Amino acid sequence: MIEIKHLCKNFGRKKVLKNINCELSEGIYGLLGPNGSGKTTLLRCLTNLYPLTSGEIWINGISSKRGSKLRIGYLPQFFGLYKELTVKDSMRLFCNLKKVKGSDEKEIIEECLEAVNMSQYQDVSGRKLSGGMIRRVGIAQALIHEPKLVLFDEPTAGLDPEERMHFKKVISQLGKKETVLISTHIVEDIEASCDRVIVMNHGEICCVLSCKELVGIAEGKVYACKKGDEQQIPGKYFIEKQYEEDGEIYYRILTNEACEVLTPVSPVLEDGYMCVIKEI
Amino acid sequence: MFFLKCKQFFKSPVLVLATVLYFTWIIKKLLPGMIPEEGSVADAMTFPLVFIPVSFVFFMFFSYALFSREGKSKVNEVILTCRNGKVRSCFCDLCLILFINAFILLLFILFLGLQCDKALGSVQMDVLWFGIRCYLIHIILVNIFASLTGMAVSLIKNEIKAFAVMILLCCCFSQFFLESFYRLTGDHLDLQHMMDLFGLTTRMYHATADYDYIFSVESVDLQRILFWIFLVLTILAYHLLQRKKRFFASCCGAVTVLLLVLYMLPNGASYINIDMNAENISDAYDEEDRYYTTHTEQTGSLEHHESEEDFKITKYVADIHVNRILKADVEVYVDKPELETYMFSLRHEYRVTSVEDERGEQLNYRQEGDWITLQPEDAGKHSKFVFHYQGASKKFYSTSQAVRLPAYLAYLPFSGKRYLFLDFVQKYGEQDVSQVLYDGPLLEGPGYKTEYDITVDSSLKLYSNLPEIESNHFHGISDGVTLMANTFLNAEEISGVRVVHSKADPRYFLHNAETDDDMRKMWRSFIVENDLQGKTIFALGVVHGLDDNYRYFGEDHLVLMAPCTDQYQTFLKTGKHPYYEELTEEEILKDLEPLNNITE
Amino acid sequence: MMKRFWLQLKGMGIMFFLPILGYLLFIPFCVMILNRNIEEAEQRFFTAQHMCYQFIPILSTIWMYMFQKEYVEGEGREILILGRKIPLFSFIYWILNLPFIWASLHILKDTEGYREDLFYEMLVASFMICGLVFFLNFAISSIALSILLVVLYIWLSNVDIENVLVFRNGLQDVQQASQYLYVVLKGGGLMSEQAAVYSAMGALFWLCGLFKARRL
Repeated sequence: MIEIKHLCKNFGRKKVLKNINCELSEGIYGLLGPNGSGKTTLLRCLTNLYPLTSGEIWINGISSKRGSKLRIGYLPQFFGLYKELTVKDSMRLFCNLKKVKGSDEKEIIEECLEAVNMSQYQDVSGRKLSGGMIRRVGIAQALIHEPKLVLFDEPTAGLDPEERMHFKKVISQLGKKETVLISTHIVEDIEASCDRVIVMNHGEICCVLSCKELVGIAEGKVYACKKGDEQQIPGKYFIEKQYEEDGEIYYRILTNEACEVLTPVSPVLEDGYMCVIKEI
Repeated sequence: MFFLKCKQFFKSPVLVLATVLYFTWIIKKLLPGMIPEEGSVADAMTFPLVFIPVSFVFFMFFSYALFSREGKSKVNEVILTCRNGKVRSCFCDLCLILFINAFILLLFILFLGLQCDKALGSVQMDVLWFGIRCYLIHIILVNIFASLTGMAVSLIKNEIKAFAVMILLCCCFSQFFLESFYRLTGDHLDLQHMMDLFGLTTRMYHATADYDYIFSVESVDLQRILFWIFLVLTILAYHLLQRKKRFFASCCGAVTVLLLVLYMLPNGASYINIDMNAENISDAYDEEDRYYTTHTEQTGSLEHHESEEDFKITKYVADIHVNRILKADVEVYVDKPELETYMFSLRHEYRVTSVEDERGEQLNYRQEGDWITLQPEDAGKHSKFVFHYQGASKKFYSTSQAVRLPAYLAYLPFSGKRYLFLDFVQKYGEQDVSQVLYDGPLLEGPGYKTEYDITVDSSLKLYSNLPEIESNHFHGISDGVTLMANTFLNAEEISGVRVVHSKADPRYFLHNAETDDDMRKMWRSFIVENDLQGKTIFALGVVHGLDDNYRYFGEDHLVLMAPCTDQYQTFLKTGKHPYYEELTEEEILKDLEPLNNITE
Repeated sequence: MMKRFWLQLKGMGIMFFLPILGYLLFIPFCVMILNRNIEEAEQRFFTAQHMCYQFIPILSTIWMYMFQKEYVEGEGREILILGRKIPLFSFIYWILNLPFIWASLHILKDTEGYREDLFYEMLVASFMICGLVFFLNFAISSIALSILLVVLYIWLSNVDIENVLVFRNGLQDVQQASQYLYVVLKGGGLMSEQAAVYSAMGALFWLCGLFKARRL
């Protein structure tokens, strides 16, 4: 159980995280938010990379200030490998850093690389790998020491659709005994993998809901309307996207106010997220 | 992890190439030193110091390249999230650097060992140990500091800024910076000493003081480099540690401050700033000249003077402590207690802290330059004065590394107003200096016999002309007391005469046994010819770059630089210093023969 | 073009003033300090000359480095299309140094024994070094490494190289190696053989740099 209590983080005068309160139990959480909302900062605070300005993080009843021994797996937003070392050697280095037993090292490395489909690249040096391959190794290193708290920051960035599916499979095997927090912009990944979604905006947590509940927020607020007709909408509205249908251009609109030019459509997770962010 | 770091290092072509070039350069520069022509132990010991400036730059940039890899490879964040991950990773990289340094040290020791073997006929542990201390303090620790600085600079994310900082640091520890700051400090010795904190890469091999002291490996040198190491460790502790960083940083900071305080304490470490052009640096090379040419009124150094003396000292009881500086408590018994004014002469480097009478009561005194004036209020009642003083001279050093206190140096108060400056004008007035054979005057001590009871508190083994009744406790009657000590001092009996000399002086210890025997033959003939049985000869190590040839001929001992032995004969014949005009060409050539034999 | 130039200068921020401070404050101050107790005119001029040879070439490269760093290794360099104008701007940044070099030497003019040739020597030295910088930046695509190599070259030129490098044949090799160091310009003036050689070297570096930059 991870409890975040009144967490604040400032960089100089800029308040990046404002009074974050949250409880994370075992399971998979998605972290959604616009750019600059503080998602990466929150993850870095959880990994003790940043000292907290105020507040506390309690991990299984022990404050992180006292030094929790919880094993944390972390995949940062920008991850790379040593160019000189092979994938296997890099994994051995991570094993050493994460204090994996020497006797189990070989087996664990093979398992983790197998899970991310990188076994055949074990002996390839870092400089020869593509961005996506490096990302996969990053996912592997995050899981190498059977962590209890796993933090992924944009894990599927640079991965092809097949690998993204693979990643979802890997993630689905976690979450029973671990707490997994995935920060991403790809809503489909959240939908496919996460039990609950944390929505952040302007350094604050707006809500912590299940995917269904988040979709439910947009219930009755999502409409389609022809381009040009949006002027007739009374009240506040937000154009989510534009699409073409039968030669006509339509808008997908979020609004509380129904009117004759608007045609209701079924909401999806993205709609719920936008409703929270735009306060509709 | 260390193995993986090594693997990573060997797979990095730039780093490997730089390291190979560096070692190739070291070996190529060391090799000419292996040629047997030179063979001087002291030079061999100090030659590797020529590598200091380039090593400093190399290790700084090398360690920057090593430690900044994580940032460039974007592995840093993952390492930081691991418990003590960054510290462990840096530690492994540091071990690699230490390994390279150990290899460098081994090379230097091998070089020194081979040179020792050639010069001394065997590898001698005291020479080797001195060399190791020299390399550890002046090269290895400086390299470690450079490496830690590179590590600290790698925390700067912008590469250009990092390079600019490193170039700036190289300039700060360069000769140029030090020279500029010496000029700004004027004659303030404390400020100069403070600026000397930056003198890490400016002590080069040719700054050897002399062949007795050789090169300073005193505590002040260790404190200098440790100050910088702990300063960088303070910065690193604050930025690298995740837990208790303030505690560790504070501890390192406290040690840094302590080392600075220790460094600033008075010290008598001897060194020469050969390449400095600034005129206001006080070093062993011209400390004496500079003082006496600037303090002419206090020393009367511009004119020829006769000494003024209206009492004699009948006994000295001296308790001398030698560590960073000399501290002395000296009881002086005078033959005329009725005088109203007593003038003593004590070298200006030793500052009197108090003077007491036999009852322990403080007396008023005035110390100006080399002279102390006592005017006790109740005249006629004092037959004993107790002087407490302390100080250090870089030329006549008295430290934990070496002691050179010849009888003619007023390190004990001499009676009367004496002109202690050992200058030609002082001694010979207007006479032409070129007339004097082998530059340098004949030096005088107290001038009469007195009883001496001297105890020296020092970790070194001292040699004196007086009989040694206990370890470093000397007692006897003589017309002057010489005290000498250093790591390489050796006393040997040659035809009943004790000859005290340094093993490291090339004129005493040459390459092969034949020349060594010749030297002994020369001493033997000199001793026999001049009836020196029962005396002690102190042969001083040559002072680097100077032509000074000290000669002191006392009743029970001689202090001279070999081979000035010929002049003693002339002194015995004529009672005065020899001049070219008085000697025939044959006599001059004969006098020069011992010198020619040795230089061949 | 003027607008572009102005934006580049603005982008340098406060670092733009660094060479100016160097020329007008740092060099004269150091010369003043080092000449404090020296009375011989020749020695005083020698000190000033030594300082100029040490610092003016490196100061003259700062603007060029700051201008070129975005094009060489900036993250958005693919969108910075300047093409043919890179060499032109680089040359302008070199020209920009000249009035400040002149001003710096003008301050030092009061030094006894000062020779007018020093300005021309500095002209040639900075032309050559800037050309070298221009070429290195685009040849090795690393500003940091380029700085390192140039600083190393300037440092080697101003120390006693026989103490630093290893020479098999002693003085002969030292003299030969010294010909490659720009300090041979000392005392030669603008019409000397060394000035011609180094001007030609500088021109060659500029041309090679031009070629590399245009291939970007």
